[in-house]
Amino acid sequence: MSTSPTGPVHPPIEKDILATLGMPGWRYWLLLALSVALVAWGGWNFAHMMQTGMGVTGLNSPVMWGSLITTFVFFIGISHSGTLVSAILYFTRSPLRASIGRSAEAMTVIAIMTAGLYPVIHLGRNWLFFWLLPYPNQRELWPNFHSPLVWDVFAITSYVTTSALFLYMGMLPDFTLLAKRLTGFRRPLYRILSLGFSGTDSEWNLFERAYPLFAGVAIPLAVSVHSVVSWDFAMTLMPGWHSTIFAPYFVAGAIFSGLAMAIILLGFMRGGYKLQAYIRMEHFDMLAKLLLAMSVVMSVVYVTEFFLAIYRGSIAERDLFIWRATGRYALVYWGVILCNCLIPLLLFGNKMRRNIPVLVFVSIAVTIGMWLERFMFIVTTLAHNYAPFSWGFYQPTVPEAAICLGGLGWFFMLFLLFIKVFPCVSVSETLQGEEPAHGDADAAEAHHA
Amino acid sequence: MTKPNPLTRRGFLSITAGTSAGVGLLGCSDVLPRFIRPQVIAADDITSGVASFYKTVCRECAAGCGLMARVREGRAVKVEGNPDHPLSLGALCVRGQAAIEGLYSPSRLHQPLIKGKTASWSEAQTAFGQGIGAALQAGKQVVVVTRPERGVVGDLLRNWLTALGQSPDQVLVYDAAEPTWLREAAQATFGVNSQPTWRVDQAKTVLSLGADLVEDWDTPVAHARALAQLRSAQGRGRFLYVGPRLSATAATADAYHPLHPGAELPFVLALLHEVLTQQPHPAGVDDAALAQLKTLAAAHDPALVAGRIGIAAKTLTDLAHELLQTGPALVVGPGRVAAGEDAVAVSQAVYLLNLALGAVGNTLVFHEVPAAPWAGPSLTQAELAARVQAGKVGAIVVHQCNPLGLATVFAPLADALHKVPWLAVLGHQGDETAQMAQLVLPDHHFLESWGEVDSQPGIHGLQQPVMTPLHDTRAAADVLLGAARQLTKTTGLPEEETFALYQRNRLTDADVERGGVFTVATPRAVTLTPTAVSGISLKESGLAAGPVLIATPSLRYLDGMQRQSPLVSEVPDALTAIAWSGWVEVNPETAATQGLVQGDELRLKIGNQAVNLPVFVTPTVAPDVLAVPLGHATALLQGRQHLRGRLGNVQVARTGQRINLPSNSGSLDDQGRDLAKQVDAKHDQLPEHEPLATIQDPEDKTKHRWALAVDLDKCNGCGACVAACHVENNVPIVGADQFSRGRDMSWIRIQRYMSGTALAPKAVFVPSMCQQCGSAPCETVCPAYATYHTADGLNAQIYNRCIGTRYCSNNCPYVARRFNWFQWPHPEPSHLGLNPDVTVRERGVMEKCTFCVQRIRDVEERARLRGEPVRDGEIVPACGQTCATGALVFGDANDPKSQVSQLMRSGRAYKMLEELGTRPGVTYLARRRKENA
Repeated sequence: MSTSPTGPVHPPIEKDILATLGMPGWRYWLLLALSVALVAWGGWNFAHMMQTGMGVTGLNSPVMWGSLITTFVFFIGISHSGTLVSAILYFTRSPLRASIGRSAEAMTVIAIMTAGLYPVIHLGRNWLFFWLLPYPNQRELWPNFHSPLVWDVFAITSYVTTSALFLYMGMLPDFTLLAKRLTGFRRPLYRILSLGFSGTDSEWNLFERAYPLFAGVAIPLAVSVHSVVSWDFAMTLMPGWHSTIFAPYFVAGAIFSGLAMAIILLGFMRGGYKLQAYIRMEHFDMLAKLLLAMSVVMSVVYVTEFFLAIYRGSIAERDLFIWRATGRYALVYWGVILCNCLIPLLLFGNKMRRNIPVLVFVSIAVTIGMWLERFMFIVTTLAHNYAPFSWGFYQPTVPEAAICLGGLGWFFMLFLLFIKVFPCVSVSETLQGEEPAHGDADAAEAHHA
Repeated sequence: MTKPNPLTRRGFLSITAGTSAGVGLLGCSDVLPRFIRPQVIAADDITSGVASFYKTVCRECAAGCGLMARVREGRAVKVEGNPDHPLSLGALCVRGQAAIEGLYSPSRLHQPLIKGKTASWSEAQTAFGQGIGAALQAGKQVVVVTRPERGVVGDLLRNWLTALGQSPDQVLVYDAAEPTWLREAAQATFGVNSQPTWRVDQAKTVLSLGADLVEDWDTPVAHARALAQLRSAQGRGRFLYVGPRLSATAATADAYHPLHPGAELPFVLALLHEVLTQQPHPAGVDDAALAQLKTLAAAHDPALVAGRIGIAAKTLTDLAHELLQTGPALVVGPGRVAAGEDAVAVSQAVYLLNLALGAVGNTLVFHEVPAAPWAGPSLTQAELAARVQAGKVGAIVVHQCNPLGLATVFAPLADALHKVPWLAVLGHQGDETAQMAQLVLPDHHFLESWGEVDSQPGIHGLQQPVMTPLHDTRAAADVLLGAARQLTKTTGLPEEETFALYQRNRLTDADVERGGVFTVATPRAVTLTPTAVSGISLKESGLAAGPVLIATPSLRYLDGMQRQSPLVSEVPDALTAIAWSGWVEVNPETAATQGLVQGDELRLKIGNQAVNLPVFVTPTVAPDVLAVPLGHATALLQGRQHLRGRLGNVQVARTGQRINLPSNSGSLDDQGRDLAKQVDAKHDQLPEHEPLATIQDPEDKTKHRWALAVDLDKCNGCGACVAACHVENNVPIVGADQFSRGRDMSWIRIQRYMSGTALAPKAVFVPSMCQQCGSAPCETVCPAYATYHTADGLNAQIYNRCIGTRYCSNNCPYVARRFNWFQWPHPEPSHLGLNPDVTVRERGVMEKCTFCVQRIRDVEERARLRGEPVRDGEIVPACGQTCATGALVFGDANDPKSQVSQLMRSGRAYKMLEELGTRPGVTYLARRRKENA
């Protein structure tokens, strides 16, 4: 332990991270105000919809699912990368994890908290949402366990529980540190949050044994949750949905969109909080390579899907895919191809992968592209179904757009609050990464002092 | 409103007691109070939850089909066809089904109006007597303008005028829809001033010349049934259609030949020529007549005229051959779409053609009792206008019609109504005419009043009230009698206190219980007049080259003058699937060359009259023809004395607007998916196919498996089933705006699939409802078990359990489910007409066809009480009940002897989208086609 005449010298990481928890600047307030405004706008429109009926949306017969379900799938996708990537990085002992793991995990939990709103918002009688849950009742009525929507409930609740615990546990050593470093009302807060973790060797020993357990459970759950969401569609018999490619397709799409969102958040955090030392260019480079790889995977999936639709011999399915590319939603379809398949090809350039504005641009394009992709496959299948007489058209209305953007506002609002309350880069892991022995000792000392 | 007292409550009970006994002696006399209130103590013979049935007559159009009203706890909740009535035989059309909606319509007048202000009946009745009295005092005439009334009410009107010292002929019968050209031609050809009776049911080969038999041809319900029987009988007959548009009637024909507007007369004469060539000595035509016919036909050798009329000489030969080959034959027409300036001449030619075919006196007959809208002489519009102009008329009483609704069309009449010093209206809507009147005396709805309808010779329908009047209304007859008594001029008028008592004393219980007196009228013999042939002018039709506009009739809107019933408006048109609004049909080739797409608004101009309507691109019309629905073309009809469909050459311009059409039609055709299957009529057999490989047990081992067979060969897309379903199942009406957003709630969609080419179109109507799948895709995906499988194979929906995920609808390949996007309104007092056996659904829940589960359960309960099993055919869903053609047959598929099982084994039977493995409970029977048609 290093000391100096004026007292213990803390590693710079501590100072930098503590700085993120200080009084925010105007930029932060502006962003937060924007987010809250979006939430308020969306909330108002949701209240209006709940009072009037689902008719305020553009939904109709035959297109009974639209932008709200799109947004649900989108946020489930966003959630995907966080915990999964963090857990994988943990097992591969990647240095990348120390810097991006925390925010990725937070992104997961917040994205699920956002995604989970939509199936409820979307219900015709959302005040009865709890009928989706299996709870004992005197009528002895249970949800229909055949229904993929009930599987969703289980998959999502499991995933959010595991992800939240994984995130929380990773933060324990940091809480202990913060309880020591901070003063005022925040000290008892973090002391409670730290659950009495004091950094003793035996505690660290238990910690190091328990943490992989969560990481290990999180990985299959992450795969399963998005597979289950894909079964909402794949388990139906509708053209364009009823396909075994859906589960891997959704998992790949989820990683893809999750990575893009992670890059956007990290890009802004890095600039805003001056964390260049911890979130380094090579980290972005690695993320960009991963994003590029997933983009190629998505392209392969799109081609495969199209090929299967033509090859399978179902007229309905063949017509649907041709219509996707040429019909009234063709702009959406080609928008998806542009955003998800073409723009990410920029990242083949070495310089591009280390250029934050380019990376953020590509990531925003991918994010939009992935939203459009879900919109495209949900809406076109319903609009161009088995019964040509009943073919229809759907476009979102303003209240729907408000509710979707309200979700985005909700997501950013929670994330902004998160980074103000919790350290957005893991102090303990960063220290471990730099000087393992020192970090341990320091954390232990921090508590003893 | 009077204060309730014990006597009025008893009075109310005696009303319901009286009517439910089917006697109704006191039941509907107007001395009794007129307000409805809940029955705290029910009358002895009303059992809560058990319906009573009363027979009456439909007054929605002039056809006068027999009705049977289902009354629950004193309120009519559903009307069905009277099975004993020879016209309806239990079936009903879309308008008839909507009668209930009219009864409870919020737009009905509730009480009398004097100069637009509400008044009490004593005031209004006095004012009416004074108004008539003042006219008489001044030595002026009193004139009655009425809808066609050929029974006791018509007699009363005449007797009333006589009693007042007026001529009984001072009546103008307002019947805009009557095809007057047929009557005029009958006068010219046979010297009979009468509409003919077309005995479609007696013919074996029927050729329609633009006559839309199932849409506006005197008795559409009877004709629809007759055509369906004609085409399904052993040694099957033929129905051929020649006309300017593929109408619903044309779509059901065995062959449809497009005929250019204006070519009707040359076509008929060429056909006459061909008939006389193939059969030079037709039976029953004397030599003189034959000579006349031959003279007429001589100039119309098909070889010469074929080029001009657009129909090949070979086709004419074949048509003549078919008409002569399989008799008895009948040529019907010209229908409204084929009627232009030369309609009388064409009608004469059609009569002569029928004569040559031996149809006159056989399948085409005239009667002693004139089949005219009025028994006796009456005024013409011009006469009335002249008398009003001359100041001779002191008062006009308008009875149950709205001539000002088509003011632009019937200008002389409208002029008379505007100028007459005193105008009173006896009607039940606050329509244009009522708004003009000094005095409005609201009449009962026809389901609340007595009357008679002689719809056809020999068919005398009795109209009786089925419930106490809903509002403070009074029978028009009683208003007239009241005025006569006030003026002490009652000679020859009924002495009974009310018209109801008078009418009741005249009738026997048996007649009332049957719903009328039905006899077979003897036709009169007719002979050609000397002018029969010379009267046919061969002048050209007056049409120039360029697009011709035709106005197409429909049962939904008739002439556009009637109250626009929301329910009828909500039922989409058969061929365009457009509800609520108008459109103009444009051939795809024209649309392509002109760059028009669906919804582009066109300005259609004839002379200086114009109308704006959006385009519907469809091959139902030829490239040089545009078609608009008659009810939406009134702006173009100015100065025309009759509603003839061939409007003439039209100037077309774009307005630049694009309108989202309220249509639930996605694709015109089935996109090559073979959903609306068609078979060769000779083979009558669909190609065999391997049964679907499945790991499921394909047998339904339940006691019953309710099933429906839909015969596409019989369905003519009339939409009566859709309206019946709305009324029976409390299906809400969403209105034009929500309809155009795809939120229509109807549990049945009649999917129209076009085939053929842009120049030779064909259409098949596929009534599409929940298919009640054996392996229903909707059931597995519902998280809340709101949709589940019943023990008798039904796919049930529990509204209470539904939370509105809409997942079931997404997984329904038939798109059969409807979602309650809003809390749809049932505006007062229409909520009184809701079927108490069916839940009214809340917003946010899913609904769909239940196979009328309430009817299934009702019959099952009755069978259980009888201690017998349910008989085949005992359960009839509302759609099948009202279907005139018998296209919808319901029953138990697990009973091999049931009618539905037999149909399911037919060679034409197939299941929709069977390859998906849903095992539907609905079986379709393929449309039959002649091999080369």
